[in-house]
Amino acid sequence: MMKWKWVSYIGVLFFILVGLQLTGCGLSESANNIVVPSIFAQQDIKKEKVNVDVYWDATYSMQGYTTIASGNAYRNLPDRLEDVGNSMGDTKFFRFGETVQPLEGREHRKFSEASFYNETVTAIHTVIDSTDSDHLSIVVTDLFESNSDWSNVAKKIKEKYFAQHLAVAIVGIKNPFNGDIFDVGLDNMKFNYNSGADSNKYRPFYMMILGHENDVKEFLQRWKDKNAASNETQYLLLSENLMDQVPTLATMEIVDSKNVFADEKLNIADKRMKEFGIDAYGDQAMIMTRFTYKPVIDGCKVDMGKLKTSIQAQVLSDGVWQPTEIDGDLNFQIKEDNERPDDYLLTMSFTPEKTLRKDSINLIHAVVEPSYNGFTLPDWVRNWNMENPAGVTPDQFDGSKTINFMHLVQSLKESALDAAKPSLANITLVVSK
Amino acid sequence: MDRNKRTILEIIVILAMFLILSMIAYFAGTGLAKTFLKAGGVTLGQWKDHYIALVRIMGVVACCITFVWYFSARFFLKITYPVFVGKRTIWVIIGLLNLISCVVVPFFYVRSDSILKIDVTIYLLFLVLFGILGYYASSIFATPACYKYTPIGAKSIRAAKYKKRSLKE
Amino acid sequence: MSFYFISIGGSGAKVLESLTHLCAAGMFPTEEKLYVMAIDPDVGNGNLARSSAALHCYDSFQKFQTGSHTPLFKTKVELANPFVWNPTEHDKCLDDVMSYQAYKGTPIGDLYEVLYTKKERSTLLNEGFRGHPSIGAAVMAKKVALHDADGTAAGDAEPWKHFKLLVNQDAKTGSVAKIFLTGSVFGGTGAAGMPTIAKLLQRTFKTLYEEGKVLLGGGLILPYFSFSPAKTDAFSGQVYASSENFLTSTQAALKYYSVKNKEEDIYHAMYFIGDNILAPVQKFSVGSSSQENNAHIVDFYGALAAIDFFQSDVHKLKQCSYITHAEDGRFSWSDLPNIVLKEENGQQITVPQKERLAQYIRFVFSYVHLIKPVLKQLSSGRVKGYQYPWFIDYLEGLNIDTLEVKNFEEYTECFVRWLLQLEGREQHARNIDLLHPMTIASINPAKINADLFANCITGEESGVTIHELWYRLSESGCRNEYADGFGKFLRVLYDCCEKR
Repeated sequence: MMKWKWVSYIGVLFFILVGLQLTGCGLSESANNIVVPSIFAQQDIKKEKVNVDVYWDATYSMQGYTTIASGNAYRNLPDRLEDVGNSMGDTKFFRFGETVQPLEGREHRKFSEASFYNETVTAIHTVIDSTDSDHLSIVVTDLFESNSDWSNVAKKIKEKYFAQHLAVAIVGIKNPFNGDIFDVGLDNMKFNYNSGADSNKYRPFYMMILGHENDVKEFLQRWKDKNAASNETQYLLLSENLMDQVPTLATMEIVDSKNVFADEKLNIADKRMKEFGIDAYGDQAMIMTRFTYKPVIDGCKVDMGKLKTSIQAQVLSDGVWQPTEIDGDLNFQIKEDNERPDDYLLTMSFTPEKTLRKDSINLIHAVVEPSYNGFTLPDWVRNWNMENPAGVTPDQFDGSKTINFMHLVQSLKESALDAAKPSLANITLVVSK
Repeated sequence: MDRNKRTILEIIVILAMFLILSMIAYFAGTGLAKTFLKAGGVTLGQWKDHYIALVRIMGVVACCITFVWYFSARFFLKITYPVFVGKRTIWVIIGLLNLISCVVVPFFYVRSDSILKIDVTIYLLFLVLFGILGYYASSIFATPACYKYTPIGAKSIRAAKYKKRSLKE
Repeated sequence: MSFYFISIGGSGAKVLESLTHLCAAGMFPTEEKLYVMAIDPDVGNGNLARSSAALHCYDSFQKFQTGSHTPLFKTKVELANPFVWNPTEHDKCLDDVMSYQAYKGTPIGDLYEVLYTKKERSTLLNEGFRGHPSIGAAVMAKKVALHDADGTAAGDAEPWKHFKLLVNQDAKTGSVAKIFLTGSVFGGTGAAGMPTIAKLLQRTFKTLYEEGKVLLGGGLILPYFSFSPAKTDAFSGQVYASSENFLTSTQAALKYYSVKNKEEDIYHAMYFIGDNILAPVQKFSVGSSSQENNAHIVDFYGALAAIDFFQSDVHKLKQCSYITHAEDGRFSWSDLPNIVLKEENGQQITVPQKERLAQYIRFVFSYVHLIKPVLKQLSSGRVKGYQYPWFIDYLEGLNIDTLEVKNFEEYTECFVRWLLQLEGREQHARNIDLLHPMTIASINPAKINADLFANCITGEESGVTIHELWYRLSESGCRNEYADGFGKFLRVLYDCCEKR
């Protein structure tokens, strides 16, 4: 009887084990009910339709672009803008001076006529206030601003666009000009400038394009596609991304690792954040990734020798990422890959025991970004710039350049650096419990 | 207990043993995987899904090989003359086959599975659990009476138990 | 109750041989001891030598502790000392025994001369009574020192002194002493001894006899073999038995018993066993060691008769019964009588002969085939023990180089030889169908055909193959607390041979 008792015990145990095996109960370690928030801005979703708002500088200083017919890219600008705009979505035109006024119907076509320019004050800051950041806003202007005016504009652009992970592009087009240019120099002199048919003397006008980076890039691409550059045209794109696709762990190749393994226990929606597990908490962990530097089209130049890295550990607390208060031994370095040109190796290392908080979901975010001196404007900005000295004489005045242009664009660059913090690469590790 | 009941019990013991060893292999292997899985490769979760299939196959193969010894000893290896009755050579050969399978089966399985990558430690784990513990322990405790002392070391364990039981009776 | 068995002459010795094996197989009704003695002037008689060899072996190894509640070696034997009582001295003739010289010329001497021929009187009696019961009767009457002429206790003549002591002790304790004599009625020693010894016993234990405390049974062996003396110079002029006279001798003897037993009521039970087909003896011998006839079914029946006598109540002894065999020319298991076992609680159970004996036969066969060939090598370590689980479980560490084990192994050889002779088809005209004919492959040493082991018993598929036996031996344990040592192993082996 006793013996049969043991037989029955073993039989029951056997079937329990079989049952466990079949149902897989207890075998899976699931922590899928924890929602891990992303630290990145929501990725731009490619919209089917983008509303385009064109704000046209209707001040007198813009008249001169309409006067010379030969080689004029400005006269048919309204139509071209409408064409590109309509290919993207609905296009609306506005004129501005001191205030912003919407234009109805085909009124915008009058921008090709000199008589339509009768505003005296260029208040771009008003335009910036009026723009809808969800739309693609295009400001057509000669960017003829004083330093003090422009600081206000730059501040607004920084807050409304760069800080919100949006982008700003400048398209400069050289155009024949015959007209007056106002507020030159500290004495606000007026000069008359006639470029004639000499393309070297053409004066630039600008389209400042503001909006979601994808929309801005889309516009630039369509503009290039639809408009063969008959006149000298330059482009500059300022955004938080220094490459067309910023390398993250979703796209980078992980070359080597130590004490770290890929895992999938958590529910991480943002694929730019990757989950990993640690094998031994007392040992040092290391991840080495590789990315290829492909500068963004029309972007600023990045000196790859002048980069800075930053790395930070955070912990998920009450559904929000918060910096840890642990002094860890985080280390993050970048170096060129000697075997492959244009490739760079990023190495992140840390000791989990010293760096991560136990029994919590931790995050390590490492960024490669250009240093202030390593992020430079393209040469054409300098070439098109004219300083605004005091007491400039007419013969000293160069109408083919834009006064303070360098300063304007520089301030935009700095705003972008400061607010958008453009990065070359992002490595975001999430370490589960 | 009569012989048939004992046979059923021994079969259950062998099956239970390999089931338990499979579970140990699964959990231990999962732990070992953390040491050799790279951050840039498959995730642990994906690896585990494929690994459990390998563990199941390995468990079944090792269990079947063990049952080759068991059923041979129970039903097929007959004794008619009192010579060459140990069959230890057969036991060793089957044991070696089992050990070989612990290497061959995962080797070929991994080749056919693009996701699953294993390290030498997994081979060692299989060798220890399925090759040595599984086969050896099963043959120590569950070899039919005719050949109960054939496995090396069985005499020390089973003879001691037997004499203890006889003394008790 | 005590059992006494006295074999007289060569035929008696052959019955003794069969009885020894039945004793070892546990065929006796109770666990009473069996006292055995043999009477034979032909001390070197081959039959006696063979049967006493098995008995002496059994006497040695019966000490094995096989535990309780098993028929194996159930009945212990006590051998008389000396075991063989020789009524004559060496190189004596009848004249010497009868002290003829003292009576020569007297009327007794003259009568003596009339009754015996000169040849009979002068033939040396070293090789028995040569088929002349008259010689034997006279010698035995003269020599059996059970009592003096005046009825007082005998002198220091063993083994009779001890025999008498034992019987009297039985009577004192209230037991019944059952004495069974067996011998041929057609030969010399048996024919002489059977009536003479019986009469002497009756006279010695007269009171006990009348009180029913001593019961006497007789197994009278009738002719069952024949021989042709070689017509050589070695035998010309000698006195020897002649098989042509067997039937006439038997007729005369039976007449004598018929009258005598009616008058004097000597035997309480008489068993007449013979065979109408006389088995030819291949080699004629006057006597001594060369006189060794093979075992015969008649011997076996003689032993069964002894057992029947021992197991029967006194009331049944006077019944007249026949035993026969179903098919002419063939003996099978169904022709053997059942055995009646008396339990400790007094209950009697009947067990078929076949069942008990079949298990015992398998037991001996299995020992001979599986154990004996490897035991010494295992004990000395020349063969690895793990291959033989039974050795590890029961015999490891035991000293098996003992006299008892040797005797047991010798006994197994005797048993197999006895079985082979019993079955022997060449010498018998009968078909003794107890074993499969090819089971015993050879003797000296005994070899068994392993493939026939399971079906070695005719008409039975025991299912106990060699492998099955090995399995049982390896898996079973001995639960009897009184079994120990080598005896425990034999007990287990015996139990494993049971048909389940």
